[in-house]
Amino acid sequence: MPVVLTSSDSETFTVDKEVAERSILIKNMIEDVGESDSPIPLPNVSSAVLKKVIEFCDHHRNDPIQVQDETDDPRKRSNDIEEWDMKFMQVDQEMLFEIILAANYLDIKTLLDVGCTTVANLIKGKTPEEIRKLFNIVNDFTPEEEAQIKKENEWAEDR
Amino acid sequence: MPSKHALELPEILTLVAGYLSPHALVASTCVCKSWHQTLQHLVWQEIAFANSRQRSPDLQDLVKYETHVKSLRIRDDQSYGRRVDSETWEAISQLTHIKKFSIIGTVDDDAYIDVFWDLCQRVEILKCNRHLFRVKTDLTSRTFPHLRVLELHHREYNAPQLDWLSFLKRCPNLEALTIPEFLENSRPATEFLEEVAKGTWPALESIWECYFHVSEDTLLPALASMRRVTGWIARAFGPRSYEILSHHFAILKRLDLADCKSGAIVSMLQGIMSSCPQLEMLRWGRVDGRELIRGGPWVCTGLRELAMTIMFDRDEIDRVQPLVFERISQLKALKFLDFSGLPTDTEWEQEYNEAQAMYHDRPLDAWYTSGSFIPFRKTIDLRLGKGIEKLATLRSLQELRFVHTVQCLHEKEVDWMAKHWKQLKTVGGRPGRPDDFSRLVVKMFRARGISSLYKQYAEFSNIPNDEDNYE
Repeated sequence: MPVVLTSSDSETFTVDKEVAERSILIKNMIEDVGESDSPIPLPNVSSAVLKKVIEFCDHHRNDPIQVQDETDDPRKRSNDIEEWDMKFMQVDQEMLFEIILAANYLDIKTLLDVGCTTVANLIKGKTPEEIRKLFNIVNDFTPEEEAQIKKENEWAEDR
Repeated sequence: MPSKHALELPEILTLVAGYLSPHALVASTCVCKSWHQTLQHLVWQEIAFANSRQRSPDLQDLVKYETHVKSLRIRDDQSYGRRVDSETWEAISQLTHIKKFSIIGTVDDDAYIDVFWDLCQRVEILKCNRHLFRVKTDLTSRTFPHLRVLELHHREYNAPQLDWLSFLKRCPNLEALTIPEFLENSRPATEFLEEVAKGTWPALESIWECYFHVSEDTLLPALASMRRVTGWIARAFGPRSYEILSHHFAILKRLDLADCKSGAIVSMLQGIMSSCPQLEMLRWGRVDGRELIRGGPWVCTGLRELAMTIMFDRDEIDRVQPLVFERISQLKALKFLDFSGLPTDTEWEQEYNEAQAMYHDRPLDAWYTSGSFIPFRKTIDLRLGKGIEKLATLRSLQELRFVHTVQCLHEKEVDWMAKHWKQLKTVGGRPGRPDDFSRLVVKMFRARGISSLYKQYAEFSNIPNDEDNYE
C-alpha cells in the first residue's frame, strides 16, 4: 500500500510503504494511525529535501535495518561511504545540512550516518581557522583562550 | 525547513564528532565556544596511560576535567617501558565519574592498591589483564555494587591470590562475566555454578570464555536459574540446555559451543541461526556444509563474529560450498570470520601429509585438481571460482582465519580479498603449501596492508615451525 507524504510547502509525494518506513518517525505514525489514505504531513521538510530523502530511502529499501552497536566505539567507525551514497551527498552545503536535519527529524539512521560522515570528511585535516571558514563560523575566542584549549587538548591528537 | 545551521545543534555536532579522527576532534574544540562546549567532554571521556609513544594529558588538566572522564585505561608494566608514577596515581584517584576501568600490568605497590580498589568500587566495567594482584588484598570492607561487567585475564599463578569466588560475591549486580582461567579445574567451577544457581547474581546474564570442564548436569541448574541469558559458553550442551536457552533466543548475543565434544547438533545450529536476531558472536565446532544450507532463513544479520569448521564431502564441495557462502554473504556485519579446522582433528593433517607425499615437488594445484584419491572430507576452499566471490558483501570484514585447513591461495585471491574487504587487517592460517610458497603469499598480503597470524599457529600444530623468518 502506498503512503502519501506532504512537504512543508504542500507538495505531495506518493511512495511505497516500505520506502516510507525507512523513517522510524513515519513508521511509528503509520502504526499509531493504522491503515489510512490521508496524507502524512511533514511540516519540517521542504519538497526539495523530501525528494532527496525519498530517493535515498528508495535506493536503500532492501537494506537490513541497522542494529544499534553499543559496544563499538563510535570513533572507530569507518568513514567509508558507499559509492552511491557519496554521489548522493554531492550537494551544496545548505542542502547537506538540510538533509541531515531531515534525517534527524524523520529518524532515518542510515541517512543521518551518511550525512554526518560526509561532514566529518569535510572537517578532516583542517585547522580550526579553516573549519570556521568552511562553515562560516565566527571565532568568539580570544587568542589566549584558543591557545589554552589547544594546549589542554593536544595530547589527544594522536591517540 | 528551519534556517538553523545543523552544526549549531549539539546533538548533530556530537554525531558528526563520532566520525572525526582524534586530530580533527581536537581541532574542532578550538573552533568556537559552542563547539568547545559540545565537544570538550568527548576529548576527555577516555583517558589512557598506556605506553610511552602515546601522549597523556597534563595531570592538572586531568583533575580539572575529571567529571568528563568516563573511561580509564592503564598499562603499568616495566616491559612496556612505562610505570604509572605516584603523581599519576594521585590524579587518577580523583576521577569520580569513571564508569570503565581497564588495566594491564601489575599493581605491586602497597601505596596504590587502595587507589586501585577505590576505582574498582566506582566503575561499572572492569577489565584486568596480566599479573595484577601481587599485593595482598583485603576485601572484607569492600563491595562493588556498580560493577556490571567483569573481565579478568591472565592472572599470575604464583602471586598471593585473590579468592576469586569471594571477590565475585562482593559484586552483587554482576551482569556479564569473562574469566578464562578462573575455572580451570572443576572444583571452583562447580562452586561458582552452584552460586549462580542459588541466585547470588540475580542480574547475571552472560558467562563468557569460562571453560567449564563439567557435565551438562552441573551446568543446567545455573543456566535454568538465569533470568536472562545473553551470553553462554559450554563444553556440554544437549537437548535440555537447548530447550532452556531457546527461551532466551530473542535476546541471545553470544554463544560459544566450539568446544562441545558431543551434544550440540546441527539442527540446534539451524534453530539458533534462524531464531536469534540479536546474535553477535557465534562459535561452533564442526558442521557439515550440506546441513548448513538447510533450515530456515538466518535472522542473525547483526552477527559480527562467526567461527565454525565447515566440512564438505570431497565430491560435493563444488556444489555445496557456493551455497554455504551464499548464506554467509547475508551476514553483512561480520568483522571476524573463522573457518579454522579443529586442532584436535587430524584429518587436515592427513590431507596435507598425503598431498605432500604425492606432490612434494609439484604445484599444489595439481593435487587439488587430481580428483578424489584422498578419501577424507575437506575443509573450506578459499580459491576464486569456488564460491568465495559471494562473500564480496562482507564489507566490514577485518579478520579471516583458516587455520588447520588446506589452502592454495595465489596473488589473484589476495588481490580479490584486498579489493572487496577494505577493512581486512589480518589473515590467519597457512595460505598454501609448501612453506616457501606460503611465505610468498604472506608477503603479498603484507604488501596490501594485511598482516598474517601464520607463525602464532605453527606452534599449536604439528607442522614444522619454519616460519620464524617472516613473522
